[in-house]
Formats: sequence, C-alpha cells, structure tokens
Amino acid sequence: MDDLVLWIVVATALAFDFTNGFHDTANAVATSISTRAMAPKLAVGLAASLNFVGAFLSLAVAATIATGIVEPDMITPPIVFAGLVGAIAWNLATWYFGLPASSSHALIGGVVGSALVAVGPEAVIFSGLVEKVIVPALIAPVLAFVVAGLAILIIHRIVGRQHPGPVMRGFRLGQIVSGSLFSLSHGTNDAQKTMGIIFLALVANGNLSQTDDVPTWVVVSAATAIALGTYVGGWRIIRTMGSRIIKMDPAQGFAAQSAGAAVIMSASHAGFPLSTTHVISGAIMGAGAGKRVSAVRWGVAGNIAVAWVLTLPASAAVGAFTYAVVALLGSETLGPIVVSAVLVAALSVALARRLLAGRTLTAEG
Amino acid sequence: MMLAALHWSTLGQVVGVSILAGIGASTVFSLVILASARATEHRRTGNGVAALGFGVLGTLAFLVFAAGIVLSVHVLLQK
Repeated sequence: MDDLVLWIVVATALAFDFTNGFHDTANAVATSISTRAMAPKLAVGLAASLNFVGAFLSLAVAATIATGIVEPDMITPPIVFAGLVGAIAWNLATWYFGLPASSSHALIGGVVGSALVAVGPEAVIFSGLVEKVIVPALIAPVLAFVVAGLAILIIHRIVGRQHPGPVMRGFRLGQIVSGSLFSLSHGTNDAQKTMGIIFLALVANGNLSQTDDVPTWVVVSAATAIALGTYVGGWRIIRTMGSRIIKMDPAQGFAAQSAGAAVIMSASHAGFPLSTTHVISGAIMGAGAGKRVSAVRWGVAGNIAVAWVLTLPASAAVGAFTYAVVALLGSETLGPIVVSAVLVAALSVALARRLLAGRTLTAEG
Repeated sequence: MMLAALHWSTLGQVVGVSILAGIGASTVFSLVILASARATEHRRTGNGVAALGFGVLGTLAFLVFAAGIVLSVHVLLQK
C-alpha cells in the first residue's frame, strides 16, 4: 500500500473516532445534564477525561471490530477506507437529526457494504452479522428497558415517602458515579475499534507484523481523538436523550444509568457485544415507563428505533457507493486520495457556512 | 439461522446478571439515601438508637454499592 493511502486511512479512522466520541457523549452525560447532577461543561469534561483514560486501560479488544463479520483475508485498505466513510456519514446524519444510533454498527455496516461491492457476498459472514449485530440490537434495548423499569419501581418503593430534597441530592451524586462508569467503559471499548483499524492498516502496509504490539502513537492518537470528540459533544443527541424521550428526575436518571451500566458490564463480562447507545436509550425509556407509561414520548422513541433499523443498510449503502467511486477511479491510490479530498472540501464548506451563519458545529440550534 | 447463531447460555447469563446487578445497585443506593435521611431525622428528634441503626444500615449499603463499583471497574479491566 502506498504510504499516502496509509495516512489517509489513519486520518479517516481518527476522524471516525472523533465522530464516535462526539456522537456517544450523550450516552454518559445526557441524564446527568438533564437532572442537573452536573453542569454541562463539567459533565462533558469528565466524560472526555474518562474516555481518554479508558483507552489506555485495555488493549485486548483492539482489531476485533469486524472479526467474525467479514473475512479478514479479503479486506483491503480501500475497503476499510470506504467503510469508515460510510460510518462517518451515518454518524453525522444521525447527529444532525439528534438521533442516538450505534457507531459500532455504523462501522460494521460501512465495511460490510464496501466488502460486498469489492469482493462479493463471500467476504461477509452473515451468521456473524446476525450473532454480533442483529440479535444484540434486538436484545440490548429491551433488556435495559426491563431492568431500568424494575429499578425505578424499587427506588420509588424504598424512598417514595421521603422528603424529595435529600433524595434528589442523593441520586444526583449517584449519577456522577454511574455516568463516570459509562464513560470509562466507552473509552475501553470504542477507542479500541480505531486502534484496531489503524493497526490493520499498518500491518497491510508492511510497517508492522500481526504479532507486534499496538504502537504507543496509535493508542495516544485514538485516545485523543475520542476524548476531543466527547468534549466537543453532540448536543443535539444530548438534548434528545436527556429531555425529549422522557422528562427525567434524578431518581430516573440514576435508575437508567445504573441499569444501563449493569447491562453493559454483564454483557462485557460474558463477551456478548451490546451497543452502549441501544442500552442507555432503552434504559431511559424503561425508567420513564416504570413511573408512567405515558411519560415516554413514544413518537421520539419510534424515530430512534427507525434510525437503529436503518443504521446497517444506510451505512452499508454509503460504504458501497464510496468503494464503487474509489474503484471507478481505477487504482488503490488515486481513489482514496480523490474521495478524501472531496469529502474534506465538502465538510469544510459546510462548517464554514455554519460558522458564517453564527452557529457552532454542535450547538443545538 | 438467527436462532442457531445464538448462544443461549451466554444470553441467559447476561439477562440474569443484568437484572440482578441493575436491581441490586438501585436497591442498595436507595437504602443509602433512605438510611441517611432517616438517621438525620432521628438525630434531630433525639432518638439516638434509631439514628445509630439507620447509620449502620446506610454505611453497610454504601459499602456494598462501593464494592459493586470496584467490581465493575475490575470487569472493565479484564476485557
């Protein structure tokens, strides 16, 4: 692989990592901000720091993102590049509409789409796709919904007759702990995906062998990209998760976060891959429905569910289209260069227009 | 195909542990809040024995909650 293409793949992977952090900030901080357990800047700052630390705590899962879903021997850097573009596009689209969706599923969808166009169906392990993406996507929100619903019922049973002041203060403190656990968990999981992709590109380029350790600069750059993305914060999604699904009190926020953390940790321990986004969204709905079913804005919940259903096919379609354009340009070097240049130019124009209109990239309006 | 791809025992384990851990964490943290509020009330009304009892309950519940956090971080680091 040409060195220039290698660095394009590395830069695209870091851009994906940034959108991953930026898109998933809401998972850890939306409930804490909504219930005023933490000030918004403090919440995103703490989440960013813990994501950064989490990225250094575990390197064991690096390079496993698409394992068992695509045939690794058939995957080339342009396929990975096109898959990353598909994932970034879906992350930006769902952010624009304020919809929480899984960045991992978007990345898998992007890579599957580009692999289908580049190699054909034989590059995709469909049973792995069912086992690692579709079944967990069905189970995660339902399980989190049930656990959070039961948790809020028990909380109300225990503290329901107490004065609201001390109870609310107590649950706000609890939310700081549960939100921090979420951020740490996110850092140990999601930054690893980017490290794995960069590592694979370095191996494909002959800079490293499969048995080498992940280089320190890869760990530091992936940790920094996800932490920066988290700090910038996808405020549209934070608003959806924090106040548009249910109007949350601190007890509900704590129930949602502790139930979500319990589901994520138990799944992680059992090696069962669940999306943090699906889990916390289901838990927020469960914490609302446990108090009163009509407290959940089911229209908003429905829109989120539609985004989840569309994640895989939509990111696959963008990944496939991107690979087709790369292939049309006729070489493994020119394609990624032209496509990345066009995308950087398009994003720069969009950002400049937004800034000229007096809005920041992630402002709610 | 979908049912064949599922590891039912793993799934059962995830469901069971999630329910136990989620409900357990909420219960013990609620007990911390309840015990702390009741201990303060009893202290104000001069009922020292009840205040001590709720203080002990709150401390125990807090220790269990803290142990759960330590266990969670341990699980994170074991990946």
